Amino acid sequence: MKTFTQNLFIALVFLIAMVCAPLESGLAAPVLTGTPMMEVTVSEYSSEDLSLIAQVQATRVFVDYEHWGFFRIGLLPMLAAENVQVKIQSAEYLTNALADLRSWHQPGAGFRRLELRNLEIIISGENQPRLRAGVARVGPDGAVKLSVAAVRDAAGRQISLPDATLQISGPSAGRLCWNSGGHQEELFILQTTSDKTP
Amino acid sequence: MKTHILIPAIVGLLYWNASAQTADEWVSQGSSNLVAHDLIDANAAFAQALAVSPTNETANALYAATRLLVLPSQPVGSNFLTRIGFPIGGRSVYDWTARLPKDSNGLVLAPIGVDANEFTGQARTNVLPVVSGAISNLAAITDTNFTLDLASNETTIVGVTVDYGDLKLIQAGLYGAEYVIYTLNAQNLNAQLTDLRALYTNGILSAGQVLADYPQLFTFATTNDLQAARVAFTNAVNAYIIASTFIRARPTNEVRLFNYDKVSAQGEANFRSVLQDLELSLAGRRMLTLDTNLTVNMATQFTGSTTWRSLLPKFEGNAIELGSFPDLTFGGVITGLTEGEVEGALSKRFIMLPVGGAPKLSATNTANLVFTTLSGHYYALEASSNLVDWQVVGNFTATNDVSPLVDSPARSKRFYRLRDNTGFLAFSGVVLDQNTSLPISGAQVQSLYDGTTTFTDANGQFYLATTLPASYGVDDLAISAAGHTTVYNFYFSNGLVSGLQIYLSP
Repeated sequence: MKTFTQNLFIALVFLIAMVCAPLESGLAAPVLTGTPMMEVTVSEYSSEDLSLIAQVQATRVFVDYEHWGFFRIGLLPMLAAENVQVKIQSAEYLTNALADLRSWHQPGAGFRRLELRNLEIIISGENQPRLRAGVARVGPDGAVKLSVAAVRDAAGRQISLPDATLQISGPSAGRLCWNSGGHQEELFILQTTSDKTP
Repeated sequence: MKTHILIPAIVGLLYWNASAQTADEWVSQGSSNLVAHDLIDANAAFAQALAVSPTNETANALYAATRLLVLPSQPVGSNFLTRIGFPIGGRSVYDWTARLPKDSNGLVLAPIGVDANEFTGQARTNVLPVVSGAISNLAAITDTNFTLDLASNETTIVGVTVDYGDLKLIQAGLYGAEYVIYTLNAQNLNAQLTDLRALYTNGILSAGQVLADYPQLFTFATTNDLQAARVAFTNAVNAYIIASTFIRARPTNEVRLFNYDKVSAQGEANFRSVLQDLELSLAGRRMLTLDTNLTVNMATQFTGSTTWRSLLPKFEGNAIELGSFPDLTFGGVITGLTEGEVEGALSKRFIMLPVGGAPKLSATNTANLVFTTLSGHYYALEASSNLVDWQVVGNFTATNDVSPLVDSPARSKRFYRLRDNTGFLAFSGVVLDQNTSLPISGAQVQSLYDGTTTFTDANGQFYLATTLPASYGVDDLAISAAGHTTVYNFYFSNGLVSGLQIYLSP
């Protein structure tokens, strides 16, 4: 029985893998040439019983550029997805999702990172998203930087964070870190609220 | 004898070959060097191209870029990096892995015998000529149709086209660097880094302590560079305006090095407006277009009449005393700012300390207090009879720079302090026995999110200021006492949650 926070973590990892999978398969060739993909929906099914595990929707996937000051830098392209909604049905295949995630970074395409804008992660059957983020930036170092994020736990309580970093690979996978009044705070989101330690 | 004839002949032949190479061929060779990540030879090749054709725009652009990039590997740059502690290896600009050594706590070790002045001296002596040289190279590019295609194997990232607008923006940045170097070099930054680190190690590093230890800090070391700083500032603004105009007029489907971002359009327009007002104010006081309550006079910054130190407020540790700014015009640069506006802006980065005047006891036995405050901030007035146990006696949101307060001390001796609770979650209240409703002294109140802990006083009262910002939104408190069952309470809050009554069951 997976906990909510495990679901949440898997959802994020799965989302990234889903957005990147088309790139690897060549389906996203238009994106690489500057043509955006509109109304993208990707579904993942269980290999055991073909049941739906997760579904990722984005209104637009396109190449954008990192910002420096008021300008976008043509030397620093990145892959962007807008209005991304992830619906999770099952908490399985965590290991596979992690493996998929690590392959998103394509040196050939030159993308330094993936940026998910207006991200929502929803557990099937619930009315409210479990995680919202204005921007989620995925870097090649296995860390996701969240801006204007809100996380809800299984009890429905909301934690609002202006900025936070979620580690998605390595031994610290699942660690959510943020700065609070000059102190570094952290929370392992693979633990439930009742598991957490101060 | 034959040898003596042969050597000049070979040298002459080589010279003839070098001279025969065209500027474009040198540029091509330099580009090949870039592909091979050989910046030094690339820089030399572009220099040769300019020797053959000083007006070659491509050579000027590439020489400007590479002369900056080779700086860390040239003797002056490399020696300074070594002096401040960078390891010799890992200094390739393509893959910079060299890091300053740190102690076991992750704090960078201060290089022994290095003074903060050395950084500005190094910038003034060795970096500035290179920056100015690069500016001259870029100034040689006058064709507004100029473009330079850089391949991905040259940039090591992706291919990109650089045009006239991009180069003007880089030029503006370099002029800005000149302005900063000239301005900082004028300041006295005479402080040994090892001494500053010792303050940190001893837990006494603060703005107040540093200013006390270094009475000459941020006074003028020299005013000789101030006019050069003024010229650099003017050039930076002018180059930026040209760059911005060019970049904004580009077709939207063109991708260049710097691209106009519609999302930032308003911010960029405001920035440009302020820059132009500041430049125009060099000729005399000028009203800001974006805020007609403010006037600026940038010229006063370059007269050498006002030191930075004389503009600083009073520091208590790293906190700023409210009401202590000596000059709200900052040496005449800007007029129209109120104390509340300046202190309000700084309150996002600094703790702003309220300062109290002497309390006055009225005939009706009430204490009349006055504190400097920050309008819009949320304060808790606390009282104590022994300077150890403090109790909240009032909360209020300040509406002015000075807040008069009243308390009824009931004839007993009392001390007062004002706590700014604006930025943090805080909780106050009383812990009581469920059966007797009597206060429990010594009960522990702890935030489960940041671990901050306090204990109730003899009256069961507590005040817990967490390290969590008010925007954090939620907090869990654990309240425990000997002989009682621990209670876990959850709060949504945004500032101070007061008046809590928490009952513990025996």
